[in-house]
Amino acid sequence: MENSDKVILLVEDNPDDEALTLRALKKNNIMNEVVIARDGVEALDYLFGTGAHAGRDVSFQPQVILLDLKLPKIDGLEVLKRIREDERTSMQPVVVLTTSNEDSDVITSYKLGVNSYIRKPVDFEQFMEAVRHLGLYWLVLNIAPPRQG
Amino acid sequence: MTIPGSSRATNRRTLIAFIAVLAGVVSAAAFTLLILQRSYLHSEAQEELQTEMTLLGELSTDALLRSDYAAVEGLVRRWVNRHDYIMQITATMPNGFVLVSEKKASQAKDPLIVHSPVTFNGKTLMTIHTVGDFSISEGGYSSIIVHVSILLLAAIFILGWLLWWILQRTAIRPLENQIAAREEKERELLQRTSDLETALKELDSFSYSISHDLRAPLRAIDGYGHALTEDYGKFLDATALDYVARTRAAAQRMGFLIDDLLALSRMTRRELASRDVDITSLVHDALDRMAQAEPWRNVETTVEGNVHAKGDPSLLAIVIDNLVQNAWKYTSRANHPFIEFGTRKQNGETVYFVRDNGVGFDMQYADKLFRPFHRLHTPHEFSGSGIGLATVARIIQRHGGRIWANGEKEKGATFSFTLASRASV
Repeated sequence: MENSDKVILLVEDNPDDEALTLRALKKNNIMNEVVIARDGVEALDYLFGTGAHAGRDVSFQPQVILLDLKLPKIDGLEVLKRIREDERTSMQPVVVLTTSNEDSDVITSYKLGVNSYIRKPVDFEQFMEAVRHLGLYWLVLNIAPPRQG
Repeated sequence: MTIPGSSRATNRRTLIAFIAVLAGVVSAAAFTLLILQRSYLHSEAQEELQTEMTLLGELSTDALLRSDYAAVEGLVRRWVNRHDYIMQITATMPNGFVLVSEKKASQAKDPLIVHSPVTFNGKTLMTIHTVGDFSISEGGYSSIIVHVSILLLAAIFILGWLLWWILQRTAIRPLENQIAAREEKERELLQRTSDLETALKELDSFSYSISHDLRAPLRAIDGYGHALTEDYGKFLDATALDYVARTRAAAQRMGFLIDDLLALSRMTRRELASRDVDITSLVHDALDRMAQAEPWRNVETTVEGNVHAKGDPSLLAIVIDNLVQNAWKYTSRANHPFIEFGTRKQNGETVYFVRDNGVGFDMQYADKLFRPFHRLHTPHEFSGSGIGLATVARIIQRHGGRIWANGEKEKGATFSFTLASRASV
């Protein structure tokens, strides 16, 4: 697949889910660089060039952010809220990729301005299919907001 | 909520106010009576004084005729001294000569004035002019007031106390006890409500962690099973691949069970809408979906037209979906599968029913049908989680209706339900 310079930010704390998501991406020939954040703080550090990612060029932002909701330290909804509040990331495509299909989570996510909400199915084949669609849509079809600064 | 102490105080205040009004009314009545009594007593005293004056005149007549003026003066003075309430007395001869003039006080508070001429054979011998004070006379007004007031106060006090005592015994105490008991119950109810709210919140967080935490390992089991088959399938024999496939199937099945369980718990918590629902079209939709999923099946259907009900559209759709799905599933081995939807009137209620000629069930297990995870068939015979009918029952219950099933083994089943009357939904 083209556009391999486009980075995917995967915010996921469960190592199994991380491995399986990477496998699903690889199996679908999505070769883009995947940056992994294992909690909400790491995700925000990467996006805003703070903490472990101090000095990162924040004018360069991921093509899509895959965000789990249940995360240590700062949870996914809070991360989403901060992404939308900050001018540097307010337009970044965010896809919630989570286990929960609680109405309250879905509603809150959309209210906070998520672009898409996907529930991880138990069946790995269905998950691969979901990741395939996701990659095709957000990395190929979708035009991301232009680089800022 | 009322605090028991304050309600008791309110009772007491009400009673005190009542007694005050009572005392006021009684005093006013007594006062009116006193005023009426006073004019009566006054005229009595006036008359008595008149009589005494006449008597004094008669006693003096003899001395007057004898012109013994000293004797007359003595008589008059003695008489005056015997009567404390006489303030002034003047005895005048017809020629203007004043025989006796006594003045104890210049003014009487409540005067009794008497003019009494002393006559003999139609000739006036002397005129006695007397001013008495009624207020200090015997049976005088002020002493009456004092006595009556004391009596009145005592009466009011005794009456009030009696009334208070009787009310306490007959009304207030039982009422207070009743109120206290009710308040106690209210408190208990509030406590229970808050306990229930806590329990519901716990259930919420429980379902939340079920959906998150229990599904994550299942995804790993299925995902790694998939990876194992894909990457190392060539090293595994048929039995090993079958084991992996079974492991994955079990994980997926547990995923569905969790989802169904969550749906059931959500059903209990969700708020109900109340709208007109076209049941007939819900049945048609459900049947169409089943026919699309299994186009090879040939099922005869009868659906009553224009059946409407009031209720929650999406929840009633779940009810119809489940009942139609069951009928569809359990007629899969029938020679001429048949599914019917209709209504009938029973004791003034509308009964909705879904009937099939499938495998049916033994009536002795009828009550187990609606319990979660209770199944009358093995997964080999018919698939399912055993939650569908529990969900249906929960929805019907929340609509204020009832659901029951009739069946016979190998002869089919009928699921009937009612919904609360239109007025009460």
